[in-house]
Amino acid sequence: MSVKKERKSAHKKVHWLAYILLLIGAVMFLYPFLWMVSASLRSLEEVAVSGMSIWPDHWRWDNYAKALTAFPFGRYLVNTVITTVFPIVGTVLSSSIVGYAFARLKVRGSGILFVLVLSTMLLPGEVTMIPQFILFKNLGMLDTLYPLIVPSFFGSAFYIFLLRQFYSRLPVALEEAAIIDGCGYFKIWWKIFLPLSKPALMAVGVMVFMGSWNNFMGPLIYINSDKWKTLTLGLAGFQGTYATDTNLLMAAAVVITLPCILLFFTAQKAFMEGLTFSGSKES
Amino acid sequence: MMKKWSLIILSLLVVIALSACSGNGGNSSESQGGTKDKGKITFAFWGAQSEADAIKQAIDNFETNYPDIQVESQWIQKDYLTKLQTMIAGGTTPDVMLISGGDLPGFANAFQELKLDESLFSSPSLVDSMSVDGKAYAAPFIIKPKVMAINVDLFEKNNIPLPSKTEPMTVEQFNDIAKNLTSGEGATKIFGSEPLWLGNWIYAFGGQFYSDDLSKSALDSPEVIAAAEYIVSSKQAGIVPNDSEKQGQSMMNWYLGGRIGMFTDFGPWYLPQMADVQKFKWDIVPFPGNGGSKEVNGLALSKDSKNAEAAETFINHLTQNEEVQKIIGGNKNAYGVPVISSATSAFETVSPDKNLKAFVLAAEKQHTQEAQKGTNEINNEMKAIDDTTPIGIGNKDVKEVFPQVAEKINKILQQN
Repeated sequence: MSVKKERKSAHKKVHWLAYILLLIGAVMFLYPFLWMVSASLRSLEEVAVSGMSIWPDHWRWDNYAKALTAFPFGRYLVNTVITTVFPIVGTVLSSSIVGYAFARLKVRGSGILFVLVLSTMLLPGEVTMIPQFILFKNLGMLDTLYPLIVPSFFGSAFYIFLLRQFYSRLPVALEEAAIIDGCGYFKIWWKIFLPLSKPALMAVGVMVFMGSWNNFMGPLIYINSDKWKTLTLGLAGFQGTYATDTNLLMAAAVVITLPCILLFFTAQKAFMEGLTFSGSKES
Repeated sequence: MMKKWSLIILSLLVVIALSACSGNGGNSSESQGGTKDKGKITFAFWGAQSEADAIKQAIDNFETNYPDIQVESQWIQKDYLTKLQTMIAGGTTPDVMLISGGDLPGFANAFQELKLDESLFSSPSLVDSMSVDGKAYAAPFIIKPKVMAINVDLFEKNNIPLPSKTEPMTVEQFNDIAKNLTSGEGATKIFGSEPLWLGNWIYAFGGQFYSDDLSKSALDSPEVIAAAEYIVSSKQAGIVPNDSEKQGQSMMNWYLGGRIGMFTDFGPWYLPQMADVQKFKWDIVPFPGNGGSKEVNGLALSKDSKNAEAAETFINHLTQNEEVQKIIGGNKNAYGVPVISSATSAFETVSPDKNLKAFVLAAEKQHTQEAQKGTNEINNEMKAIDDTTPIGIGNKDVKEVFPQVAEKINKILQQN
């Protein structure tokens, strides 16, 4: 009896310790965000002297109005949404069909092809930037949103790898049953693998969302006109070479970051499932 | 059945959205590759929103005066040089580009030589700052000099007479005042100045980075070494924050918080921030010992411009027209000091209750930031100063390190 009690109290202690550690971790990660919100409600002078404090003396809500009217927020938002939603659709469809093929279609040379696809991950973006720029110039697509969308429809090595791992773990019997029922490979992918891989697809979707929503270098390189600019370029407008309007920058950043946070919390469960399932060993 | 429909709808959406993505994309891309419309030019510039607003006003003025020439502005918010390099490499160089004197030598190959009349500008050194090997590759557009901002309250509290608004104080006077302003300990310590920057202070000691003909590094000269030794001694005397104190801190924030008595690296870009300061009185005085260095930004004409005549008209209007220079110089966001004498006074109207005359004087007299072709390689060698001497985190004697760095830079200069 006493052994049980001891075990229970030890278990409780471990629980408490875990909670305390988690709490410290949460505060550490939350603090910069709270500082951002607080800086967005201060004057520049108050930001300079506030130090670690996260409670504004005067709540300057008009910073938000100033920040969001400093650039054409609505237009930039629409462009950002377009260059986020379509890359999600494009990446999910293209990477999953390629991932499915690598996981299930055993043909000669597919292993080498897979290594080749993975090896593209080794190429830093800076190396491909200028050739890709010339490519889009020759296609007449500069200063449009195409260069920010089209590449996603041709798959991405990392997401292909992620989805291939996921599909490799699905039981072969599913596929065999579908073949008996007269399904071809495309139909098996569309009717069976795609619906079953929702958690992995959600994970891919969330990651592409984060990448596209916060993409700075792409719009910087390809977009010249104000009408096609995205929110990240709007944010950069608050930073001069030497001086920065920190309070307005933070106000705009809070608004722009909100969708990312909301999406992460709503898709958190699926996101974690997708990542852990794809990463675990085949049973 | 539903699935089939959803697939069809999805495909349709993709097609509709992608066609919406370019709108009149055909026209845009045409203008990228060089439009055939006579009188249309592209102009690339960097800067924060406030700076872009000033430039856009100048463009409007040009278009009013030259209705046959349309200017397509390309405002590049950040990473300007990366975008410029990509555009040049991709064959889509804008007709006119804003360029700083420091970056000019690295890009001169992409620019056309300009014939400029030095007498049009407030100082002949302005054209020099836009020249490489004696040839001008950009027209001076705006000047960004450095002055010193002082915390008047701290001066009064310590019974220190306020410095002259027109005559620079000597280095010795600066040092004495900095000592008297320094007080307290730990997190509330007040410092005489922010850490001193070599790039400003070598001029206060009568030195310069290169020989007059730019063929040799002058880092081994007695003047530069004296400046370096003074920077080290100011750290050791505790009149400026040391490395651990300044780590991760914004010195401008410290100045705004009343912890810095004299802010020596004060450029016009800080003026909009200072407009809201209410907690203490402040003003502007010249940089000690005639030191500091001014940045000159110019307008360059692309070698590949298909409408060079219109582009040159644009450059001349923006750099030589009094009205435009007053728009730029008198912009409330303190973009910089105009390059023509008749417009310089416009800058003083930005903040009439402060001594902005100090900026105008510095724009005339201050040394221009020196630049060479192998900027990246030279900067790599310059890192040794911060890494090995007490100016940064090292402990080697500056007398030993500076001549070694000068020798390495000389080798780079010979190769270029």
